[in-house]
Amino acid sequence: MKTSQSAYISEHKRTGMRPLYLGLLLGGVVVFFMLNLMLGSVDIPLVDILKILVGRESTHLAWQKIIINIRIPRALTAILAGSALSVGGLQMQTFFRNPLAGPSVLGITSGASLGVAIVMLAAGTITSIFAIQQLSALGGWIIIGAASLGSAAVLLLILLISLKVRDNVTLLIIGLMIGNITIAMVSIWQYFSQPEQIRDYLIWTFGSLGGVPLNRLWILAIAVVVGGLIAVGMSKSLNGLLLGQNYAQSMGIPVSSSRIWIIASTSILAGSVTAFCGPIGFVGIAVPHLTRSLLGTNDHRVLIPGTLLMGAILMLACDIVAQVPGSSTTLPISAITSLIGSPVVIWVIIKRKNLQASFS
Amino acid sequence: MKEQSIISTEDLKIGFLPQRAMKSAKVVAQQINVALKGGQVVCLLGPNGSGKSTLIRTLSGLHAPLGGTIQLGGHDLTRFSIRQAAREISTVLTDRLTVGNLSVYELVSFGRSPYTGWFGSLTPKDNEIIEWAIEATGIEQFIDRDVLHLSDGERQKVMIARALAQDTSAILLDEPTAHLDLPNRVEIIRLLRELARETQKGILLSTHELDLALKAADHLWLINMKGEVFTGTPEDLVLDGTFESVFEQDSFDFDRATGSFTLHQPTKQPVNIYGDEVAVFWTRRALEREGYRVDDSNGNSLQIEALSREGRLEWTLLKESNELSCGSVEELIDKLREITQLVDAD
Amino acid sequence: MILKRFFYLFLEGLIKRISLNCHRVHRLSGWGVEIAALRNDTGRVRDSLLYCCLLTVIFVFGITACQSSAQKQQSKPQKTKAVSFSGQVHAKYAKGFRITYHKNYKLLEVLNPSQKKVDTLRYALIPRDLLDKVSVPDTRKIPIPIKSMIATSTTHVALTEMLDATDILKGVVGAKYVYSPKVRGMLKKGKISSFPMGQFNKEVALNMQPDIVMVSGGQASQFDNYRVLMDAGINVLVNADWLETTPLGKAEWVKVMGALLNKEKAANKDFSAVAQRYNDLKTSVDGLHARPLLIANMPYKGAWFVPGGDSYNATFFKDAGAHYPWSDSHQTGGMRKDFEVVYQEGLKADVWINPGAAKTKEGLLAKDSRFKDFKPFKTDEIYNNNRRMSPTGGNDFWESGVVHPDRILADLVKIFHPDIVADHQFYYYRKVR
Repeated sequence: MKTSQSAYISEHKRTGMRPLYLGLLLGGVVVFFMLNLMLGSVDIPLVDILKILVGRESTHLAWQKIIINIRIPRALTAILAGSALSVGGLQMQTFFRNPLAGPSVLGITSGASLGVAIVMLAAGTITSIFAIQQLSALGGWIIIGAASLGSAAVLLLILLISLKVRDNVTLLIIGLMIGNITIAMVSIWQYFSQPEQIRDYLIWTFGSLGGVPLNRLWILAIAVVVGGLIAVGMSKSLNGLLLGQNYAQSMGIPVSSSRIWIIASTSILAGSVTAFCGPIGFVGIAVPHLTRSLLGTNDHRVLIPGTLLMGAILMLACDIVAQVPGSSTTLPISAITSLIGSPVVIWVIIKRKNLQASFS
Repeated sequence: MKEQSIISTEDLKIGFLPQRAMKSAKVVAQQINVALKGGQVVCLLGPNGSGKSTLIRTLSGLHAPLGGTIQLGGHDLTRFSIRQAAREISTVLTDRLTVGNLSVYELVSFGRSPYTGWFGSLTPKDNEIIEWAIEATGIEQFIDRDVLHLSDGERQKVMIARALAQDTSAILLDEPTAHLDLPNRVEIIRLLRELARETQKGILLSTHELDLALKAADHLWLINMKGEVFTGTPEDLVLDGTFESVFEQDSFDFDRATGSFTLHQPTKQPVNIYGDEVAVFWTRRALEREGYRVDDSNGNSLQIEALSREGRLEWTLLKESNELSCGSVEELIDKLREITQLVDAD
Repeated sequence: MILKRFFYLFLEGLIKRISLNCHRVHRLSGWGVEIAALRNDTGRVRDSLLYCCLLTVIFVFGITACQSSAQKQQSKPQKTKAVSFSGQVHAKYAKGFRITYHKNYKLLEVLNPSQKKVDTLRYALIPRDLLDKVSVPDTRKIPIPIKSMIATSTTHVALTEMLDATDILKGVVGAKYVYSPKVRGMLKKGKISSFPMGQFNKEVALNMQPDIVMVSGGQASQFDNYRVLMDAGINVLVNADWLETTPLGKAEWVKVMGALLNKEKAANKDFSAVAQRYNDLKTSVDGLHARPLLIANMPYKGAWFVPGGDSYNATFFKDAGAHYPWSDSHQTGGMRKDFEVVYQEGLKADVWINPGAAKTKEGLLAKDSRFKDFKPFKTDEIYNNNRRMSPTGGNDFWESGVVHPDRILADLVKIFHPDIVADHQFYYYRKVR
């Protein structure tokens, strides 16, 4: 019995570290959240920030408005977007057993871009026609609605195809092709548009975390929570899928229904973030690798929460950089995530000497 | 007393559904009536492409049959949910592992999936079974190692441990010894036999190792290229010629007497050899390789005596009252070549 | 506010807790009931997920409901004296706004000309001292006269300049494109902040607490930013002049500026002068039969975007007595034409207007040598509207030109029918040599 005891103890030692890591990550989220609140175009002392957070009046009304109306929503959006994209990417990487997969691999974000392109770049410029309404209280849903419809259309297509195609590699390629088709259609749309419209669309493609006011944030929050909960529920299936579809099924995991849930969860997560914030790339690919590297495991029960938190941290960090604290310019968030994320992934690969081993 | 079989089939037809509308289904094998009982090791043999993998995958529920029924413990397999079926049958496949960052213990613990809740949490009982599986397969030394850093043999044992942890009444293995060296192969087969005996599980494995299968299996299932399946004990199948017919090919045949395949055709004169048992056995091999037909009659012009004198082996070559003495098989072969050359020259 | 923050932290915690070992959660939290149900061996994923989703949704709706009800302001109308407004403005040419005068406020409605029945944005312009006492339903309150404004376009700068109110400018987007020397001076001295042209910097804007932020242009990518500003209490005023199809309609928005500044009299006077001169010029070319043919703009990446028939520029061409090949197309924006189509016209056109940013004929040739076949190239009748440019690239054509369409028309008439305006000097246009 000695070997079994030692096996149990060593396993416990391994998994016993997990809550500690998660706690550390959660602490990281809090730290970066506070940093995000502290750094911006306008200098606001920490003391005032804390005062405003606990609900007391600050000396400057403007500061209060900035913190409550601009920085807090933006930081919360960063947390939601970072977590959502990361968990979406993780599921895609496990599902397709491909270390370079991300949440956009099924073409969901391209579908959203197409939807937005149609309303922004159409010959009659729908957004221009509805420009006045856009700024009224109930307005402003055109872009979000168009992006969601675009994502939903692609999602439907992918689900239908996934029912017919059992092989995941085929599904991956089909998803990538659909993404390419939508990108091509957007190009055609751009071709027939005027330079100002193209510039307008281009600004949307840069992504933005600061455009979600508090009263809309809750919708994004619901979508992310729903997608995230589905992902958590899929932890066991994802673990089984690490060994491949055949083994997963032989261990009692319902592969066909799992596929649908996984695709649905990723689409909700990626689609909602793209609809509210524009396309933000790279986070979904990098964060799962970082988390695997940190936690040293592929067990999704701890990997999913870890990825959630790590994604939030990375996005908050990128947002801080994008704000260029101290100056009044802001950089596009999508570019920053790629700029910061890529070297980090390169570092992870080199450290581990083998991407296959560090992945997945 | 006839025990109920764990898996049994009735008129099973396996194959592939038509890919396109116009083509017909490809039938790999039909009218399969087999049964796997507890405590048995059954080997599934057949030439390449005969459908061994297809049969294993169909029996484990991964592949849909084209016709007939499969019964699990008396009940139709199609009435089992995936989870319930996973509690009865576990498989070890040829699918490659591409994942890393998983410890061996974690991988084995995945075998408990059919019993754990929606989150996959392990109870102490689960851990007990996992530890038992680890001990039974002898992989305690590397339970903390990453699964990508295992040798082929170790990995195979880990996958078997996982199947064991699944605590099923039947384990189906598709070519478990495929990429292993001989010691590992022997170890795996021995392990499976032990498990079958001790746990009364039914173990079915497909393999290409004909000699290992003949020695180790309690039962054989043979598939031939026409899609017919024959079952029986290895000895029965050999003795009634089924074994040979399944593997019938032009270039070689099966020697029932020795239970091995004759690789070589006799092209030269017959030779008689007698003496020390072990020496005779091995010298015979060399002679057959040279193309001599070895038989037992005394009337052959060539006679070889292999005797052990003072701890060493000596061969005496007798040809028409000429006696030649050799100290090794190699010497013997050389001498034989000389003699036959002289004969041909005559 | 704080509720929301804690709510989001609670969400994060909810996710994390479920993902940790169920046994521990069962002991730790008070939600033992539903967590215990989750431990069922058959794995009711859907049930537990549904439960959690419902829980979340209920919480979310509950909190949002509390928040929105707390934000509803109940203001009681108070009795106030009537205010007399000196001078009133009304839209005659512009279709995008409507101003009405009431007892103690002015109502500014910004309309979408293509959807006449729907008034989409309503602003109540209320005198500062009465701001708390007057409330008009369904409007956004703007204190007048406005003392601070952030301009998002150089056109807005021109509006203030025309009414001599440049000191209300506190920030300008795209400062390097400003022409007005006076405003440029103020920018240099730091009296006006320069806003970057990308994403609108909401923090700096909020810190300034301007009376209004004037926005123009259908830039959908900025809407979200403006909405956030509005939520934070900043008045975002839409200047819908880009939807106007006539030059006078566009220029008439100076009256809106007048209403904001309580300078209606000046606005009326200035605009009437402009309109008068414009109409006089227009009538003077009406009777002429000779209408020179013209082509406009430059090719951009293989496509030639020409003004649509009903666009700002095309209306000028028509009013200046020229023949524009595409004046029949009912497009208010630009139209994409093949190079050959425009080339064909260019071979026989009399005048070439607005060839991109070109200053010299060599510069034109450098862009494309085929231009030398154009008739205007040979006859030296190429004109560009870049006569008044600031050192940093600002073009006054788009600044003061918007409020002085009479000057633009005069320039164009001088190009097409020089004898009518013999003593007019070019203001915005110059010949490309």
